[in-house]
Formats: sequence, C-alpha cells, structure tokens
Amino acid sequence: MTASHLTSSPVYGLMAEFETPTDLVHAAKGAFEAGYRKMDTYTPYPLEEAAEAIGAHHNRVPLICLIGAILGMCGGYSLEYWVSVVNYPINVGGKPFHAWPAFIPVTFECAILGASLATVFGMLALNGLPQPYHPVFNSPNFVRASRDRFFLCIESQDPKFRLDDTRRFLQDFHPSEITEVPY
Amino acid sequence: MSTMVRVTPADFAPPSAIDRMRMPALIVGVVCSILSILGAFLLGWETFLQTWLVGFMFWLGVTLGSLTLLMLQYTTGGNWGRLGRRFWEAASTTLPLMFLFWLPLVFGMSHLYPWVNESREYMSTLELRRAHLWLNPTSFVIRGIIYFILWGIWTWRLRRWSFVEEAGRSTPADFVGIQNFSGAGIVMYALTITFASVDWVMSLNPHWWSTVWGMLFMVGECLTAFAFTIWLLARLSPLEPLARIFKPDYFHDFGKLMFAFVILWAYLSFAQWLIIWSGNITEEIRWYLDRVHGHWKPVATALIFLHFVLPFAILLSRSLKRQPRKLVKIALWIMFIRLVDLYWLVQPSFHGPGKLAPISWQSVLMNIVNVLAMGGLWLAMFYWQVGRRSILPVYDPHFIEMLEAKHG
Repeated sequence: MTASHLTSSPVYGLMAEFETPTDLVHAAKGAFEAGYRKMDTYTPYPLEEAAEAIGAHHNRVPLICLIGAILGMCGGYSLEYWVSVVNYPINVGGKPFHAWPAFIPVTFECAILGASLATVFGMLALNGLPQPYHPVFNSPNFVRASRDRFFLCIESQDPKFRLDDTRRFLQDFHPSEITEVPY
Repeated sequence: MSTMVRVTPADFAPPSAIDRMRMPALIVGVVCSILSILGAFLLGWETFLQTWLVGFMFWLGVTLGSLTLLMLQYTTGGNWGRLGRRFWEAASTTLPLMFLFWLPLVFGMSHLYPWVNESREYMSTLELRRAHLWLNPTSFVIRGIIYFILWGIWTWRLRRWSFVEEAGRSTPADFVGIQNFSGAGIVMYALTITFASVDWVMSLNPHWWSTVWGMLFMVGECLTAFAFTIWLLARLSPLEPLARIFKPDYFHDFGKLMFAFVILWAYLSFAQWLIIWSGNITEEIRWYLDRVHGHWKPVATALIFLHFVLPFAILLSRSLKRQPRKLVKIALWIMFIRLVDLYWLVQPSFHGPGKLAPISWQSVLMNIVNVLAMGGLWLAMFYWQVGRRSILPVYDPHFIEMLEAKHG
C-alpha cells in the first residue's frame, strides 16, 4: 500500500459509461487483461459475457446448493428412518419397517427444500444483499444502468488503481462519460 | 450495429461432411440387415422378432422424439429449437422407413404376443376374454396403421410448411397457424404413443398393466432424441456453416433439457415401481419379479445407477454442459442405456411358465445386429434428408436473433 493509494481513497472508483454491451465487454476484457481485478459491471439485463470478462467465472452458489441438497436428503431420510424404525414402528401392509422405496418421495422433497433454502440464503450471504447504501449510486447518470446504459466501475481498492492512469486507461475504450464516484 | 444483414438459405447450405456420412451408414445398414436375416434362420425367428422389437422401439423413439421436439420448438420458441429444426424434420421424415420396420412385427405377431393364440392358457380368465376385444390381430393391425397415419399427417404438414417458409412465401399468420397445429400435435403424440406402447410392448404381458406406461415411452423417446441431437451437433457445429453462428450456450441448453428428461425418466420409472411395490398384488408385482431376479438383477440395478444417478450427477456441472466433447460422451451413453432399458422392458417377458427369461448371448448379439441394421438404414435416409436442404431455417421470424452476437 503506497502513499498515492491512500490519497486516492476518498474516491470509490472510476465509472465509465458505455452505450452498447459490446463496448462494455470490450472495455471489461481490456481492464482485466491490464491487471485490474477490483471492478464490476452494471447492465440493464444479465450479461454473462461481461461477468466472464472481469473474471467472475465461478461463484460458490452451486456448491452451497449441492451441500444444501445433500443435507436435506440425509435429513429427510434420517427423519423417516427414525420415525418408522426407531421411534414408532408400525406394520404397514407387511412391509419391512425400513421400507426404503416409501422413503424416497420425502427424501427427494427434503433435498429440494434444502437446495432451495441453501441457494437463496447462500446467494444473499455471498452477494451481501440487502445493502441499503452503495457508492455507485452517487454517480449522477447511474440510474440508466437499469434502463439503457452499460457501466464499468474500476474501484479504488484495486492495487493497480491510480486516479489519473486509470482515467487515461478507460478513455482508450471511448466511453461516453467517465465520472469519479465519491464515497 | 445498424448494418442490415441479409441471409438466404443458400448461405446455410449443409456441410459436405453429411454426404460423406451417408455411405458408411448405408453399408452398415445393409451388411447388418443381411446378418440379421442369416441370424433369423440360424437362431430362430422368435429370437429375431424379440430383439427386432427392441430395436424398432429404439429407432421409433428417435423418429417420434424428433417429431415431438419439432412440435415443441414451434410452440415454445427459443434458439435451441431453431437450431434443431432441420434435423428433427429430417428425422421425422424417416417415418415410412419405420413403417417398413414395423411390418416384421405384424407378420410375426403370433411368435411375440401371447394374446394372438386364443387356445393358450392366457385366455382362461374373464378379464382376458374381455381384453381380447382390444387385443386381437385385426384391431392390432388397424390401430397400428392409424398411429402411422396420424404421425404421418403431422410430419407431412410440418414438412410442407417448412418448404413454403424456405421459399419465402410464408406470412406471420401462417407461423401462428403452424404453432397451433404443433400444439395439437403434442396432444396427438401423447395419445398415440400411449396406445402404441401399450399395443406393442405392454401387451407382451397381457395380465399386467400400468397407467404411467405411455409417459415412460414419451419421456424415453424425447430423451433419446435429445441425446441424438447433441451427438449430431457435436459433429456438425465445428463445421461451416454452423460454426459461424454456434455458441456454447446451445450445448448448455440441450444439456439442461437432457438433464431434465433424465430426471423425468427416473421420476416416472420410480412412480411406477413405488405404486406396484406398495400394492404388492400378485398380478402386478409379477412383472417386476421377472425383471429384478436372476440375470436381470444386475441389469435392473445398473439402470438405477447408470440411467439416472451417473448422468444426473455428471450433468449437474454447468461447465461440462458447455463443453461439446464431454457432453457428447454423456449423450452417447444415454442412447446406449436407453437401449438397455428397452431391452429390460421387453426381453424378460419371454419366459417359460414359472421360469425367468435368461439373457443369452444369441439374443444380445441379435439385438446389436438388429439395432445396427435398422440404425444404418435409418441414418442413411436421415443424412440424405438433411443434406438436401439448408441447415437452418433462415426465414424464421426470429432467425435474426441467432445471427446476433450474444451480447448484441
């Protein structure tokens, strides 16, 4: 952490505004190749290529979902086993107490339940929502991110971030506007 | 961004590789047909017909599954559907060939279906005398012809529409018309495949019934058709003209749909098993007992793990679904295991009184030969049909979306 980094800290980042998704993806790819990592793209609709361009290939939501499913599955099966074999065994149609085919529907449903709860809460835990305040909204034109403009914000937290250098770097991609985003 | 893109069917002429694939398929088909007839004389017509039924149901699955996906993509839209349209049109056009393949079953009926001979002990009970009103040779043939006529009407109409569209003579109202026609076709398919699968496969055991039977075949056929399409796209997508517009997203879509149908297959198969297992009634459970003991025990166990657990676990991966080389292996595996499933449904029916049907090398060998015989001829006709026309429906109202870069 150098002194120049500290002096740039009042700025959250530099926000470049693009008119087309193609330009945004181009700029995002360029920034990633130049070594920037702490950055994000903001688009009116999901744009997978932009996410891939800034290196967001993977997140851990699928893994959390899988773990939730396995836990739900084991939980559902154990519950049925405990009820039907240990706690309150009833003879149903001469079937064995441990009648696994009959346990499958509940096991399946519990796996789905576990997976969906894990996915929702895992997603919220990872993306930090709900978030009442975010500095990007200080950028005057940012409302258009939910309408018709495509934004790339390089954050000052990035070790490579220098206000002037980064601004010059972004200018090469011909954005319609570059703004400093205050905290 | 504002440049007008003008494309014509000529820009999407089929790759010459398709023509090169036709001859090998035809040779395999002819050689195996000869082997199959030789085998019938050496091993007996019963072995021939039993395994012919398995092969017939498999290739009928590819044909009708394709017809269904064709109708499905008209009703739902989506780029994955436009990508598969020409292939499914060509696959459903093989219907006359499937009719020819059906004829051995008609002529060999008495070797296959116990209800054909009234004198047998099968006709002893009142239920079966009633069933005879439905299951008798005359109505079997008439119904079979009706199924083929209905499938033919939809195939022919969808094909004719496709030629009109390609000639540039279609209107948006026509497109809505064909969407509605396809919607009706899906209902038609659900009904006919239920009746056909009951007639051709379930009636091998006239004592036994299952109401989910038709759905099992419906799902199995669509699954086979998805696997077949993925295999085909993996071969053709690196070549021009498909390479020009192809995106990993398409494999992802097909992979997801194949995944869904794997789950659906397991769901329905399990539903049938759970109900019959819970009831445990002599008439019903016997069908399963014939299929989970003796030689069939490893097959039944393998189906659970290799038709469901393995493909399910593998297809969970997002990145795998986007890699054609890996996805095509799963697709080929699913086509193979579909065949095993059909073999497991059909073959154990041919048991002696009080005995289990064995898995003999004769029947396995004959099965392979028959599947290849039908498959070779089927593929030759399929490649011939695909090679005759543009490979994408360029005058589809939404085709322009396929030309755009994904983020355009």
